[in-house]
Amino acid sequence: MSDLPRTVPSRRPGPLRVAGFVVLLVGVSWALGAFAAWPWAATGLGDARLRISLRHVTGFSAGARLLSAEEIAALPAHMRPRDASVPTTGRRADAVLTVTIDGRPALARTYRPTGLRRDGPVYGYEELDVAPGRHVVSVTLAEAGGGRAWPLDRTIEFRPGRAPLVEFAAGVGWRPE
Amino acid sequence: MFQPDPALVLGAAPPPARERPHRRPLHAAGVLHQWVEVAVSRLVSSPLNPLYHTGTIAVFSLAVATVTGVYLFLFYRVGTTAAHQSIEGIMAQPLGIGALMRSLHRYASDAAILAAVLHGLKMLLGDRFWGPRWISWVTGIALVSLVWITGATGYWLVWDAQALVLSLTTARFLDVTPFFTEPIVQTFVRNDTIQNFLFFVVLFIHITIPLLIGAMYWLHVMRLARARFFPPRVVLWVTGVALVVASLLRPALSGPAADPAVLPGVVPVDWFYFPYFPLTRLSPRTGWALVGAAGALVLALPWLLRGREPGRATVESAACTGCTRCYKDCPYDAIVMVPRADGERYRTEAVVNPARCVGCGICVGACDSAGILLGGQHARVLVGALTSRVVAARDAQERAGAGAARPVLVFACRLMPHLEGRLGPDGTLAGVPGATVVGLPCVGMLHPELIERALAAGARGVYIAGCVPEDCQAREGSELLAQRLSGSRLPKLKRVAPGCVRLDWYSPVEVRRFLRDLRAFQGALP
Repeated sequence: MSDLPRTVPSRRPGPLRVAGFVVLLVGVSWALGAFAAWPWAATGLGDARLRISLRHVTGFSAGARLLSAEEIAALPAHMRPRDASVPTTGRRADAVLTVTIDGRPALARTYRPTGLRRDGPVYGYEELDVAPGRHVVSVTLAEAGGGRAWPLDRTIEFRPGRAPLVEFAAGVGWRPE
Repeated sequence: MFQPDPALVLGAAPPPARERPHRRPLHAAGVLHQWVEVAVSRLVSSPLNPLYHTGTIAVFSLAVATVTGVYLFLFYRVGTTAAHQSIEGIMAQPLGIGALMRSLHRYASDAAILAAVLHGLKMLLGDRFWGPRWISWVTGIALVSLVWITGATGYWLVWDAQALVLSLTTARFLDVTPFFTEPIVQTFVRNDTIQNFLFFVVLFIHITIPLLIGAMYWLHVMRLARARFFPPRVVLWVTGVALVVASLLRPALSGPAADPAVLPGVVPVDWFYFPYFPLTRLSPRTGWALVGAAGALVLALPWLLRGREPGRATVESAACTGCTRCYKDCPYDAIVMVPRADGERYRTEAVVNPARCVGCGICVGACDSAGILLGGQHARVLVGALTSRVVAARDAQERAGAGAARPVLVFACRLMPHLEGRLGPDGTLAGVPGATVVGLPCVGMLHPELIERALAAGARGVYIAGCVPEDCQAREGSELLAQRLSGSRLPKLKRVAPGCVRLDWYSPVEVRRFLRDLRAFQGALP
């Protein structure tokens, strides 16, 4: 930069400064390595957890009706119901999930059907912290308003660090272990 | 942060502090940040100070991540089991090549986001984020976000315990929005519910986002002339070596393969990308509120914390000779040359785009015909005021007799607010008799002829305290002035006795070093 050293001083760093730079960058590289894999306890080491997953299509609770032959004919072919005697539109019932562990209530939650008209499936996912050990888990999925209910009683061994899954699938019910 | 109006500075009173109350914390944090930079500079020298090269280090690190990413892509396989196995296969490649490439990929990504965040912090605390610079600020925030998305998807692709934590926390975060009918979190209840297609989608995002980063980077630097992509060669090489050292000292390892039936327990987390993990214990709605508020605040900063509008440059058409020096020197591409339509003998004239002008005055220092006004002030006003200031100082010296201190004219830019308590009403500097200080928006505003005139008017010396060139508030002002003074750039300094003009560089907080150097300069004057 400098042709007139007394006007514009040289800025060329000396060897000590370059060495300082190398030391600094090596320190930064160590920090990169350290903080790129610093441990964090996402869950406690002795924790156990019950996971419940739901996918269910509840029955119609209101506004259910059969499509007329004219309405079916007006629909594109791929949208026509396979069985015209089954209602395909209307407000579906809410689903109620209740969970007890060793007879003690652990969860009671109501899920609304999806969709603007509430005519879609019900989805739910829950996680419950459970003390490690063997527990009797009772789970009931019921349709609100006195509809069908699907109870499940299962004895589950909750080992530390494990998260067993209880899963309800539409048309299948509670999946076996 | 502080852009003195030349006319005011040369007037009867020193420049008043113009920081509005809500900007004072910013100023205080800026001072703290400058001291950190000074400390690092004293260790490694300013040209090598990585805090002055954070933007280019981020770009270089992204380039390293891209190159190593192409290598990893050749061996990566999709699928809940295949993905983790393929990464382990890469790590087991002979001669440690795969481990080195994978570790470089990770650490370069870490260095990229760290450098990008530090760069943004520097721009914020250095007051370079509002006015015409708002585009760079907003696109910079977008760039950091895109780099984060690329990095986070990269971590997901490994499909280890950390990836599972990332999946579940992200899924819960997204599931409270009304856009997803089926909860995303249910995708991750079992490994066999996760389709390979999801891996393809994430891999596609991981690979295509860098293309968006390229486009965003173009927007980020579109208002900069001579934008630099990579750091100076020494910084580039040492940064690259540091990444290799990190990769060899601590090869990047995967956690155990993700299994949704196993609680993650203690997982190694990349805190450069996931510093928010502890906050994921809050409800997702709280998370959205925090993200929304923080995002809106950061994006609105250029308007919430904008400072005093600088006086922008305008060109006096009648004086413009179309020499293009101002056009070439403007660091913000704020000047264009347009054909003249007034029948003058010059074919083109310079026109300033006020939307891009930051008011640094570098164009004033480049103009031989004094045809550029800054903030409506004509350059000739500056010349006249300077001359009278020097004459007054010389007269005072003559009155004081032979023992009086030599009159020295001092030009300073970002040092000015830190000199406030020491400046007299006529620019005199407490502790340095004979010195009279003139504040400029940037020392790059100094035309060499101004120096020659000051010396001709009776100043024994001219001392210029510019910003550290790597940290110039106007990007290139210090560097351009150095080139003008050393004769490698027009307009050149000429007809001055050796030793009576000195340019040196200071961080704005280095007042004591400046005073010490100024006294030494004054004492050594011929």
